[in-house]
Amino acid sequence: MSEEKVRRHPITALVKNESGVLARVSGLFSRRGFNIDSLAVGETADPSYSRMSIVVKGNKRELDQVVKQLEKLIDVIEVVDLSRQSHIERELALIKVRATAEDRSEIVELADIFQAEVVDVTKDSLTLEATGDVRKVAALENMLKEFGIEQMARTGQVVLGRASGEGEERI
Amino acid sequence: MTRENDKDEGKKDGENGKGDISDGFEGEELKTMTLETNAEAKEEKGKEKRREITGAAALIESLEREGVQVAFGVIGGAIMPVYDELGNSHKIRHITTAHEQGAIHAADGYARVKGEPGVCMATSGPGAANLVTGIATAYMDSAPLMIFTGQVPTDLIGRDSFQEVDIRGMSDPVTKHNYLVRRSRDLPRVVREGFHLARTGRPGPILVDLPKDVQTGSFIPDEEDQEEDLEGYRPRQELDLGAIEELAEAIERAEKPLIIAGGGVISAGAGGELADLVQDKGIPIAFSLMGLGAFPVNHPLSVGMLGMHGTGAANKAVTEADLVIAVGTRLDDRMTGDVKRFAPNAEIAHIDIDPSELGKIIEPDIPIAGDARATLQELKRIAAGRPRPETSGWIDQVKDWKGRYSRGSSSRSPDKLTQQEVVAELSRFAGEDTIITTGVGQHQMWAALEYDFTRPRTLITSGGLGTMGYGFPAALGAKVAAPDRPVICVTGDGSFQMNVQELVTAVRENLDVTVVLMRNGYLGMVRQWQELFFDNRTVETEIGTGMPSMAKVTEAYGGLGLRVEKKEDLSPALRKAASYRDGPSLIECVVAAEENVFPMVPAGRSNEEFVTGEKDV
Repeated sequence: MSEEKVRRHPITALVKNESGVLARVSGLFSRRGFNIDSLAVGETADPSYSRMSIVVKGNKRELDQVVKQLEKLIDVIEVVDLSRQSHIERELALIKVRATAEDRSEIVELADIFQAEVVDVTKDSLTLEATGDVRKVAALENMLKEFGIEQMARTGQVVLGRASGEGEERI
Repeated sequence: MTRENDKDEGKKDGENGKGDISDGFEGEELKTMTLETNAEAKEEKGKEKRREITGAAALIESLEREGVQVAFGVIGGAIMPVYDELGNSHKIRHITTAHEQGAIHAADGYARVKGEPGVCMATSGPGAANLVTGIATAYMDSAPLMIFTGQVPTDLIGRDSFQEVDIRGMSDPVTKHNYLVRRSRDLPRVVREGFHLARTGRPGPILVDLPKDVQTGSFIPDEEDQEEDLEGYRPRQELDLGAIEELAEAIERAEKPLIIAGGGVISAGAGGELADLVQDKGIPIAFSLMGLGAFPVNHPLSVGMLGMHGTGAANKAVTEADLVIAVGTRLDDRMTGDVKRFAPNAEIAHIDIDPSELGKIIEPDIPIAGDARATLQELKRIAAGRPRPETSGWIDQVKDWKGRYSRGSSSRSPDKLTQQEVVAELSRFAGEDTIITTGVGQHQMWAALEYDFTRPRTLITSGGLGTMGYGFPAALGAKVAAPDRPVICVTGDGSFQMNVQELVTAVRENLDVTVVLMRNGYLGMVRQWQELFFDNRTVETEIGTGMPSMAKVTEAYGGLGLRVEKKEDLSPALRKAASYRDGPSLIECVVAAEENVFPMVPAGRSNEEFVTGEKDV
């Protein structure tokens, strides 16, 4: 049954910018056993609100529960599952890759292709800053693996409905 | 995410409060200088309004404004300023319990009888932590509570200070909402919001944590302090007319409809509407444990409680039904059995005020988010013009099941007093307005099966969490809520001992509740499972050894203690206890030790696979 199909759902939630809200949301996810891929938070244009970008995996019923349970939290103003509408997803990754003198130029070329920036150089490493959707960051990571990735930090997806989308996001 | 300056802001209040105050005074002076002083009374009023008050005083004022008459609690260091102010209140009666768990269950019992938020107070640290079981109990059964806890001063928070626990964090999973108040001037707003949240939508417990400096810090109240800020709270108001129409159609064509009434019917005050639906359309009705009392369980169309220890008739009916109308119930695992085989032949309509309940466990064919009362009223209006479904054959079938499967279970101890007999006798003895509270276990199930609950809010029991020890303190709260009605706590010896200390509260407050205690010397329900599913290895369930006479314990506290061993002594004991008005009375019924509760749907099996005796398990 298609209802049982597990899909990846980017969700955006407008929440009050108050202490404890992140704990309330992450606590809800863990105690209800919701499968969460990433969670990113930041202030909106109005500093009294924050926007959470949450990527959840689940079937239709599980997603329905995630949205309804989130909406029950008093500090959550609005929740939109963006998977069924046009939206933008971006992630920022910082990747420290091993770079010997002879590999350096090849890595820089790769970075160019992915429109990644070199943000730090040492004599045996390069740190790249890459932005993109999940696939792009994964592809770059894949390409860099052969040189040896020393460290990596990722923000998780931030998501937003497109202006043409049917979402009713307020801020 | 978190506001880094939160802490500073909190501090600001204590110290900065003073800044606010002088600002306020300056303002007032200015005002009086420019104002014509012709209306002295008016000026007096203005001054009154701008009077500087402490957080603690603001809290008590707010509670009085909300109409609070009773609070249950235990004082302690971090909540002393609040109690100091409470001492000045002529409107609020405070009842001190022996243990915080007793206080919160009492507030919960009070709330369930009154239908209004129960108020509970405790100090920080262990005081607050002792509330947690009671908060969870109320949360699971959607009982409205306002809980106020003391907290260490804001500048000591997060430093593992003496008697510090993060009760806001700890209570997060078991409250509808909670607050850590960081500024005294936020208190009036928080209390208003809290009561609003507790009362509206799906009721539930609200916790307000009060650092000591927030209680002592003073401020000059103004209108802005009152304004609610609940943008993210939108309890369901509008009716889902399309879905209600769909349900009306489903009822019209149904041949074997069944209503399942849950606690939501009682919270919504929808008993009358429910009775109309049952009678106008000729639909049999089953109950969740929490739903008992929503409609008379002894009515010809009632099949009694459904689920693991539900009646044979109810479990048969849900299996055969072609339409199930579930109202105000979570359809939890104790009711549904194997969810894949729950109501296998039925179209399922589910009405609940909490949209997240629709599809959480059972995917309904007709989901209806809304208040039970408003929804049933609308259903009645829509369905009025439609023909009544042809259910006479179905009703005959249901009656046949009711005759075939007795409500309670038969005894295998013919020569001994049994819990079933005690409850049945109590049901004959008690009037319709009697309030029954219970502990958790076999006695609770027998109370649910054998007692004729006919009115809402007459069964006060821990359904969702199954909290042993709930019954006695809840009975005290119930008695405070309804001083003119008889309150009887049916409990086991295991459950009673979990909060036996509250006998002192009953004696001190002169609360004449009657405890009917089933002394079988076992944690009986667990022993039953050991017998049925663990080859009768009764590990650690025997508790009779060393247990004192509970009648004598009651006497020692200053109540009336009676002991009954034979069936013929029961009725006189009930009469004697009922006529005793000087505090608590307890009837210690020495009952057969190894009785089992049947019918029973073994865990994970489908409802139709209920068994009626040990040999069938």
